[in-house]
Amino acid sequence: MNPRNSPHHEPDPGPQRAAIDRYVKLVQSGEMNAYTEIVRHFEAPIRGFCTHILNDPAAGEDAAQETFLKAYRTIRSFRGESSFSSWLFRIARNTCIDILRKQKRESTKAQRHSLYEEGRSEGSASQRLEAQEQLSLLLQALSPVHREILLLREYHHMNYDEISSVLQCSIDAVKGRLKRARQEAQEYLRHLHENENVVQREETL
Amino acid sequence: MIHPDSDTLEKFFDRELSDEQNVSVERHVAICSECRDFLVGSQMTRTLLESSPLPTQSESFVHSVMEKVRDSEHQRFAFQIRNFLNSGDSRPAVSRLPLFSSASLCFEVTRLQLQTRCSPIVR
Repeated sequence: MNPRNSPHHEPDPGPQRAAIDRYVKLVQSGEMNAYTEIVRHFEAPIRGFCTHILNDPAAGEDAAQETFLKAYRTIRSFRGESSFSSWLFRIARNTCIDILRKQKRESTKAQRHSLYEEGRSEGSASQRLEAQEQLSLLLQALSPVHREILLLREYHHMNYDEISSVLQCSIDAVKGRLKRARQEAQEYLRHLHENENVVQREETL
Repeated sequence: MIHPDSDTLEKFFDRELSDEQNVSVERHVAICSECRDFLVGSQMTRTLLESSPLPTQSESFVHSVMEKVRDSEHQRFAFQIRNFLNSGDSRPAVSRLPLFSSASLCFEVTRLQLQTRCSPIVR
């Protein structure tokens, strides 16, 4: 996995991974400053991931900070059984799950429901949604389990193996979950576009 | 027409098939609108997710994380030193010193001394 600044997200090239592994070993041996390079390398994808999972940039930034802090505190337990990137994403994912659970405890599902309904309801010109709004609505509408797996696959371009390492489940479970997530996403997008078309037709009348 | 099963189509979409399987599915998709529709639907979701750019690199984020990491390290040293002082270990203090780097030890001992205003704490 690789941070990317271009819209196309290519997999992590080997030399970069080797450099990261070197920094990890340095941090494990007590060189705290080497951690700066690790944070610099992963901060954008981890912030992106947390922001999308939580669907909130401020909460995403806090979750990303917490992720890096937790990763630093437990870096000695990283044995290289998976890539460091997968390990880090696993921590980010667990951090976000904790936050979502906390949010769920604190509020009802009403807010999420209302946003979903907003996307479905008949309505106004604002329903001709730009891609970013559509994405935000889609992420909001998906269940957290489907949201995370779609993000890992389609946004961070992880392969099945890496995803199974992040989610700590079998490859078969990854495939099944991904399939259901795509079905849920497609159904939602179809619905959203249908609504958009209805609005457009109403406006032309 | 025999369609590839949905698992194979998913793998094709995710580029997880072998080259040989890939060619075979590619040939099928070229002439099968049903399978193509499935792929187009999946592509819609992918395109939407890819349309979101990664956050721009942020040095202030890096600094902020590293500041917290340093704070966390200082707290850990302080905790270790407190344990060290309260350990009841009968060995001379100097033999236990290599637990810490000398710079961090000096820093933390001084800080703790200032904090607690106690008499010299290395017994």
